[in-house]
Amino acid sequence: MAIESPDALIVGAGACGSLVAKELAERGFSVVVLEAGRRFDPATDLPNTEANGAKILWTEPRVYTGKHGVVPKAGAGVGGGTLAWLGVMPRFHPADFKSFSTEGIGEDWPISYDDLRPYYRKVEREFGVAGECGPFAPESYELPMPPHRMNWLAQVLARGARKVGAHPFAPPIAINSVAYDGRPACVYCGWCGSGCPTGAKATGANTYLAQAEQLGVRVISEAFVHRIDYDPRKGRVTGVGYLDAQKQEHQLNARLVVLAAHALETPRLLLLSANGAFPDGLANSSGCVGKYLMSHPTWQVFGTFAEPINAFKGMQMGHVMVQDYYRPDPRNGHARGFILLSYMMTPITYANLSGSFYGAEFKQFLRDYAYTAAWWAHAEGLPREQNTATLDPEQKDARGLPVSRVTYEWGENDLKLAAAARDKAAEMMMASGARRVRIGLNYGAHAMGTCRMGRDPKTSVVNEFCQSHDIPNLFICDTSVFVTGSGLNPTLTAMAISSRAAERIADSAGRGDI
Amino acid sequence: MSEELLNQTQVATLAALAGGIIPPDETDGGASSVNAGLRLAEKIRAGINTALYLQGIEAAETIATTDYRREVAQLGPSEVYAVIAAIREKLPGFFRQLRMDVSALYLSDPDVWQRIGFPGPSTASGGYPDFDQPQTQKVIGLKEGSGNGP
Repeated sequence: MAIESPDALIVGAGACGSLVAKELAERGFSVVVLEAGRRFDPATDLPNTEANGAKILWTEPRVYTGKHGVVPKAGAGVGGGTLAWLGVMPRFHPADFKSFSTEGIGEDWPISYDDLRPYYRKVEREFGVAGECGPFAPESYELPMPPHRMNWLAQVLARGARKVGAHPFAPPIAINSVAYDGRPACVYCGWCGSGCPTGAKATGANTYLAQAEQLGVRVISEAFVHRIDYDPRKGRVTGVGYLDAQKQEHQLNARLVVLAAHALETPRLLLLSANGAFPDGLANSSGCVGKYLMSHPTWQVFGTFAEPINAFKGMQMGHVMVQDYYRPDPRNGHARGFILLSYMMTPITYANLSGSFYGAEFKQFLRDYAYTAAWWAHAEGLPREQNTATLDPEQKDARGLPVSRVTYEWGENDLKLAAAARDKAAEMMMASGARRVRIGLNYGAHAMGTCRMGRDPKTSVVNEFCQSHDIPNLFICDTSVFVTGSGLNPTLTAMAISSRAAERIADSAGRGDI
Repeated sequence: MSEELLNQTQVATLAALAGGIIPPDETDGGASSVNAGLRLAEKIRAGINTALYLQGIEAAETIATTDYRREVAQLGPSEVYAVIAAIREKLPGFFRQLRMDVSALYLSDPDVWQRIGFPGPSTASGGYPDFDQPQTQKVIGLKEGSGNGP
């Protein structure tokens, strides 16, 4: 039974869903946001403990398969992935949107850097970003907060980077370097990934969504949307069905639906919503829903020093970045580029990202915690049709719904590029004076691309404004719509795309087009 | 789940495997110092990764019996190390889970934090104002208010 009919239903209360909620509410829309996870008061619910991962990370079952078994992390809760994220917010480069035109690999996007420029700037100001654009930025730009001072870890890493000729800098990061927008400056406690109890780290919840709720947006947490309703006579979606924490069924109707459930759950929901008109999944006439899943091939590179580093003092990621090797160069043995970021972890994460050794060697590595620094070597993974997020034919979740089946194999360029990033990080670590360098875990960071945008409805799911080609009042605003992943952290770009889409939604609705 | 799910031999196998991941040495008892075997058994009995662990325990016992004609718990350190190497090859999913779980138990112990130089929770005590200063000393002791563990 329908309990109300807002103008817009948004599925997912992460960075993008929160942003769209606030922007639509500002334009006079009535909005309901449905979030599968819980709502937290970070000051009381997220004290400094790595056990918080069980609360704020997606822990429901999935099936991971394929040659490389990539397991991208995702968030859960009001705030979504930004509860556990580390806040790095670089802009993509112009060439990232046209890798096929410039290098003959990947795909071109239907939008350009120029299209996103005003939205990048808007999000950086609204969300709160500190830092420098850096010497290799797509263009010179100012951020609303000054850069963070480098912690000792970053100073040690920067020393090595400079020795090999690179130009380290304090990158854009959505953690307050000074009090900003009613939130305090960071105290450099080193617990970013476990949830920031002070509010210095920007999340969807403490920025856009807080403002949205003041504008009257209703947020329903612990609401698992499992179906999007579709009226074949009108060719439009009419609402959603969701289960609450007690597994009670609810239905909400709306004029339009925005999916912002991230690149694994968004395609899952579309596939779960198959019907007579769309037997292969809602809005999937292209057959692309769930295909072209991308991640970032990433190596953790550790260096152990003779003197203490105490890298736990400071933000966990991004006190320093190296972007010298990002711009493609035909002289390289690979296409595309990579970046390096300082990354230091709380102890359990440190152990988990260290690799697969064990015994006395592992124990010594743990004992070296205070003496160890780390680079996060982060490269681009190109889109491949066979990398997918589909429905598993056998495994069901606690609700009896098929879980996501994630199939992944890195391509040849992905592996070459990641190896180049790893080797450069190791070279810099030695130049910093590490007495021992250890290559840690190779894994996939971020998930993108399962409902990609494009101009051709036969080869893409949404248009450049995140609107379904098949269903005019269905929108997707998250990293699902990425055409390529770039080698940079994706959240800012996903938010800029969402901001652009929200503007279009509001304008179109105002004209009666939706 | 009842205690019948894991018998004493299986719990001893778990403890031996955990001890192989983080072994005892002159500084502490490694995984055994946090009762990793028993605590893992509790999680398995509670239904957490039960099938994966039962599969891994059975595989380890088979390897030990085949290669050494003894139970895992009766093996010496180098033999346990070899059993884990075989497990890592044959059941990588179980190996990863075992390594993660043993690490989490060990590294949640405030006594271990003190030994590795991690001061624990720090937000409530004001974080680290000296984050950008040269670090010349390993931090000994926990920040004020720490010590309850995660």
